[in-house]
Amino acid sequence: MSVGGEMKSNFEGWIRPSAVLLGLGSIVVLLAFQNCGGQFEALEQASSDIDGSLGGGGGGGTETKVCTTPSATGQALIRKLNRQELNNSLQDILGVTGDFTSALSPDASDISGFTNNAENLQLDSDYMYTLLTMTERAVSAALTKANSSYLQCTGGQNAACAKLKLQEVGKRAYRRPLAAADEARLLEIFNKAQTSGASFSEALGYAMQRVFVSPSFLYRTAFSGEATLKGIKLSQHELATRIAYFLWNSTPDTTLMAAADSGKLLTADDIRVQVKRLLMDEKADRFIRNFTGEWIGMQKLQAAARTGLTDQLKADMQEETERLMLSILREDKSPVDVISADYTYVNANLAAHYGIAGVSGTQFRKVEFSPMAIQRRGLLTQGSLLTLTSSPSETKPVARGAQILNNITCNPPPPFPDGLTVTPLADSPNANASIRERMAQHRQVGTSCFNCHKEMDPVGLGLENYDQLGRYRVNYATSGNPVEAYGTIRNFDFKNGMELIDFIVKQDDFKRCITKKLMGYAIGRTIASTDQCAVENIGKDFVVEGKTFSDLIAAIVLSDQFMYNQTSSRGE
Amino acid sequence: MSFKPIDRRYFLKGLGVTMALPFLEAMSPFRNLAHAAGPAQRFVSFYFANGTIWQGAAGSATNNWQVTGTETNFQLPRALTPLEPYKNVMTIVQGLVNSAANEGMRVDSTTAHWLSTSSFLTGQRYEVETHATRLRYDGSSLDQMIAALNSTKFSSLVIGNSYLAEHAGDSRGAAELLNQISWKSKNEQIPRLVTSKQVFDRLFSGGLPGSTTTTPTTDPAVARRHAMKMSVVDAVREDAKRFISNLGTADKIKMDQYLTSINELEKRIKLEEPNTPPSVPMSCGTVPSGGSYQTDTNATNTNMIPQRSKNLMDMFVIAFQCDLTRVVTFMTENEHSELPSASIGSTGTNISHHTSSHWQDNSGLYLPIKEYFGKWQTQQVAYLLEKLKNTQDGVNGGTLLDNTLVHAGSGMGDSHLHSFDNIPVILAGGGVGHKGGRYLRYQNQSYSNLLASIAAKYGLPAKVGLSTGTLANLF
Repeated sequence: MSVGGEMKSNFEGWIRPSAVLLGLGSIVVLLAFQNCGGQFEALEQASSDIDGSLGGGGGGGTETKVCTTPSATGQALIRKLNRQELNNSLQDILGVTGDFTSALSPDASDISGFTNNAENLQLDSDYMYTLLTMTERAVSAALTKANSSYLQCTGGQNAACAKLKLQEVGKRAYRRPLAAADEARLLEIFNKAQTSGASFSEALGYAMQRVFVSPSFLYRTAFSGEATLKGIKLSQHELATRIAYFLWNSTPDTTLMAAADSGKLLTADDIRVQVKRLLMDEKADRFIRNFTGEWIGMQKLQAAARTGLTDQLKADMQEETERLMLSILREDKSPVDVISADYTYVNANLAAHYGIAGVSGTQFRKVEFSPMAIQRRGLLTQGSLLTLTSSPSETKPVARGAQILNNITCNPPPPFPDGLTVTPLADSPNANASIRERMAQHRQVGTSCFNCHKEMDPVGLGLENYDQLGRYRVNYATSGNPVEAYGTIRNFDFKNGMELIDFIVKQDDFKRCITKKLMGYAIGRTIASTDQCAVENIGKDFVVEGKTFSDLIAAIVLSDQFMYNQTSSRGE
Repeated sequence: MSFKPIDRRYFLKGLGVTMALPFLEAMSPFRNLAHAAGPAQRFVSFYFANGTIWQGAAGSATNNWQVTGTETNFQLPRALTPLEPYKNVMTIVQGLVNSAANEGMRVDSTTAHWLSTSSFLTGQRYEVETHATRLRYDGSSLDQMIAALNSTKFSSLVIGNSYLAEHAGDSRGAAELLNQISWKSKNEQIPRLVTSKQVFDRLFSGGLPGSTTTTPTTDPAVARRHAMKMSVVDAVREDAKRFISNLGTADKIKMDQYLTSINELEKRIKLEEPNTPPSVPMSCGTVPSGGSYQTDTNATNTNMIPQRSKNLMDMFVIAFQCDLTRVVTFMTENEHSELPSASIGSTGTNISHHTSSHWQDNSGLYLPIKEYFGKWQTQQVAYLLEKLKNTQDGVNGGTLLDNTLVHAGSGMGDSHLHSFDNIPVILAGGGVGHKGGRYLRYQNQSYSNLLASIAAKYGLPAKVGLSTGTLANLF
């Protein structure tokens, strides 16, 4: 896991251009970066209608026109299983427990922090060597456990029985019915081993191992259906696979496979039935926890080492955020609740940390904010996000602003200007200067600082009432001076964090952003400008009161982006 | 079929001229080839994060890396004092400019962290123009070039001390760039192992060579097991070939990676053929046990770093002893590391490494902490040198240090200015004929040329990234 797109300056929260910059070369820089408006990451084209750009944004550009540019869907590459997916698949198919992937290197993440993007997943011979060893262990565990189903044959342990077992394992592993040629190849290994004197169990083991080292298991395809104007349609089995890895981080179960076998994943209703079934299963917890953690960069919280941040507190903060997400799914709440929730989930330890009274015990329970006049609302005021965007001793408003722009509004600051040399400020002459004062340089209109910082800084400063561990404060601990969390964003003046969050909730950015993040996670590719219309429409339709998180997920699964693939690869 | 030991050990892969040499000439002691003649040569590269303190007068608190003295009579600066006992096997090289990191642009300090890692072993830099996670030019890193010469069980060990995005990916570059120094090709980084357990499982789950029977085995089960492994690998290669025939260009690249990996894997498994004389003596080493080898599983736990660092180094020393690999790269921290000083035992104010590396922000407070980190970094190297010195070399005779070249440093110069002139680098050990006890100062020479010089000593073409030649008088 790695943090997605958090932006932070080199110097713990404040930068300024050096005097050198005010020479000839700098003029080019200044002119080139007039417009710091909402642009997507370097990989994509900006589309200022769709991103809430700064200037004409006003109320977030909420013209209710429906985006109608046809979705030329992008290309999803063949997608290797990542570590977690690999382990879950081995466990679920073989019926064994344990972590077989401990010797594998961590997965590479993409720019959103997701480790399941086909573009970033690699392997080398060391990986394959390790894979051989671990599949041997997993298969061995399956064969040696008590009453192993693999060793139970009605007609005796012979080639016919081996064929049946291999058909079953092969189909689950390859996630599609086996062709006669597939079966023949699997049996070849079995037969060869038996000829060399291996027992039934040993020979079966080699054949099963071969299944799990094959590219047919390791890679998921998305190009075996019919060719259409929207791209190649995913076959029924590829669709089942994509849905299962999206919602369970693992291979389709036999029910989902059966639906694919019998063409029961064709209509929207049929697909919704399966999506709902998978979401209701507790295996969907994996999806929520995994997605949430990678989306906001939870790993950075877990890695932080600072006074007051005990292991227990870190675990509790993570749990709080995951619980919010889980409850939104399981209690059929609107996805808007992620940022608008007037409640959270805490145990006694976390409640004490936040100064919330009346919570005892280690169990997490729901706490509502308004009745207790608690100044918090949704994810943006949760300890996890607030702590991982701080330094050990103080908050980092630029980091917080960037986290929100990257992951909540999907309005990232543009690339850092090339050639911009910055040197840090000298120690401020005023020892008690607040962070806001120390960042004053960013607010000089017309400089290249301002153009990028004009949205990042106010957003971050708007959360200044929450300290580096997410505790609410009225005054700064060191100076005793009151916290000033006011600001202006898109011509809207806010007095504090609550008003800022209210404003963000009312905009369209989050709708688009959460949809985009979920979609990228689901299909394992980077969401591009050609997908924007679909993202926009789904967001507007489903990230609203009255729709549920499940509805949003179903809409993503039913999108062209999910169901089609612009690729020149073809299935057999 | 069994290979003669000498063939297997000195198997050369596609090096052009050297491959064409008849066996006899390749054995000539007069050729400067690490592999065709003489003992197995090893290479270790340490990466130090966050640059060095390198301004002002040598010996002052603001310059703790500047060596003083003459070439053979020199005094170590503050950050290098842990290496005092190893002066005679060490060459300290100063004054090199990392011009490759700056290639094509004016001095750009803002992307220095990403440029530092991406240039350290490649002699070039990442694609700053697009901020993409790939190198600008075709090529791989020096460690991988050296690794490709070997046919050991593991072509290299690429390890780090923690896994987390120290500085989350932002528009200047992805987090991955800060956590990697090894590249297989311009698009492929080598993923690292970052916990004691990961490295333990990687190295030892197959047992150590020579840990089974010493006499040729007649047990058909052993032969069968090996033969079936080869068959499995063969079979999935055929799967991949069928797969690839239907793929478009972009997908083909992915499947090519699988095929290449399978081919390399096959070579490696061939080496495990039973009844082949092992290339190392029996009981080359012992699998470590106890301690935290099995419990150190949390890659983001930075409190484990001091212990983990030792564990990792202990393990790759065994790997060298048993010829499991001959190339190790080790990032003692990720670039832009924010490791708190308390995690490595500092009792002063707890300040993160990166903060302290911007020592000009608060020199009174930060300088001593950055110095502490500087010493910790060189202590890691000192620990390894000591272990190598005290470990017998089962492959070559003598000690492991005799035939290991240790390379340590950073791709960045001064940590506060993010400069690229005066790159800190140390060479140590007796590998590839290196003799220490020297302090060398170069003027206007590229750091890439140092990498090229090392490449040449390993028998590779003297070219790494944007190198323009080799450094005179280095070896």
